[in-house]
Amino acid sequence: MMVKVWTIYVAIILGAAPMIMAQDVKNEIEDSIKREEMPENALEILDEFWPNLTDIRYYFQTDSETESFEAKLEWQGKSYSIEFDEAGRITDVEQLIDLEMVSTGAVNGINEYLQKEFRRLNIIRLQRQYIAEDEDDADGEDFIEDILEGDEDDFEIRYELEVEGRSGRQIGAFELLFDHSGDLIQRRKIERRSVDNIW
Amino acid sequence: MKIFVIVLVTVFAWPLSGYAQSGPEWIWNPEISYSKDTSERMTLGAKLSIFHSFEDATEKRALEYIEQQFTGAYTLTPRWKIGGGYYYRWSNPLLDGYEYEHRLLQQAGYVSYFGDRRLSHRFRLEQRIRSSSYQNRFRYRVGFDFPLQGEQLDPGERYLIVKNEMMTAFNGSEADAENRASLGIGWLLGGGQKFEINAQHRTLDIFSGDGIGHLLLLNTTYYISR
Repeated sequence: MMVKVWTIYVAIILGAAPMIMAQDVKNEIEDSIKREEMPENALEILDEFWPNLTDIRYYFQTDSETESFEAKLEWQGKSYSIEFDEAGRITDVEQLIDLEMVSTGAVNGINEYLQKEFRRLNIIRLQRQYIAEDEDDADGEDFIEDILEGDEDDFEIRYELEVEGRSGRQIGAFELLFDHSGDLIQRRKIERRSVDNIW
Repeated sequence: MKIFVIVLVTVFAWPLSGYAQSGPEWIWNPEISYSKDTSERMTLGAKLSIFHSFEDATEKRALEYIEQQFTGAYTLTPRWKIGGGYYYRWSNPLLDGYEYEHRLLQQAGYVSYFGDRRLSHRFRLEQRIRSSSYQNRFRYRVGFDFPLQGEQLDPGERYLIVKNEMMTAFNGSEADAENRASLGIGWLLGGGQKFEINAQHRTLDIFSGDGIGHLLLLNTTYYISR
């Protein structure tokens, strides 16, 4: 009888093995990396603008087709996330902000959308995205300079909101992307991990 | 792997340092869990759990119980869930005169999200109908899990999980309290699957007056969620 019991145990453990081997790999992954693993051009840009900042976190991202690098830093009380392509060119900059910091032109449109679409809403995170308007900007220094100086003619601004709430029959967390006028560009539901191990 | 060794050493060495003479019991607890979202708000789950003593591991009495668990959970808000369940425990199944337990439970849980780090609180009421007795029990568990590689947990990556649960049985002759502290490591395998190894220390019979007991448990759980 004990042999049978141990057979059940081994089956529970080993039975999982084929399932492990047959995983569908999620396309998008993100890993923290060391500073030395960042593209050289990206480090030059970061060093130029924040030469004395030591607490910068570095990440590598891939969706199996494209690869990118990210630097996250705190500067003058604000959180920035700067994304680079493989060659170290800036693709976008994100800044963590409060709702009060959204431009008047955008905040009305955003509020109107949220009130219309959601019940019992909770804003978890709000980011202002700076998108390079042309290829020259993506080369680096000018783009960062424009952002830090608030020179809004030289980049496009978008707002990314992460919210929790009920929307129609859906319940959970959502990511919403608005343009500078407060018009919705994209909406997607955030698929959170199962809570079966902590519930 | 280094982290996992630290986890094991910390959880198992700590209780042994103070109470080695009282001889804690060592248990291996393999589990397999399946859960499915049947709608936007509803999740059903089933789990098979085995309690096997490391002592006299080849003897029939080493298999302490086999338990089947069935649960349902309803999402009230993005952070609150309520639910209930039924467990059936078959104790000492290999011995003559085995015992059973029917267990009913009602629970509520709250999860806070900090990016991909999660803090959970679970409140549970249980009615344990055993072949020899009846017990009411209240349990509170706090848990925290977070990715070990970056800010986001991706398939193939590891996470750390810390939990502590306090419980008290509150009907007459069965009244007592227990604490369960655990530290574990998990692997997110993708496709809604993960594997976890937890080292747990249980402090038993806290109010019994006959001395506090200890149990050390190595839990291995394979989770499938759809």
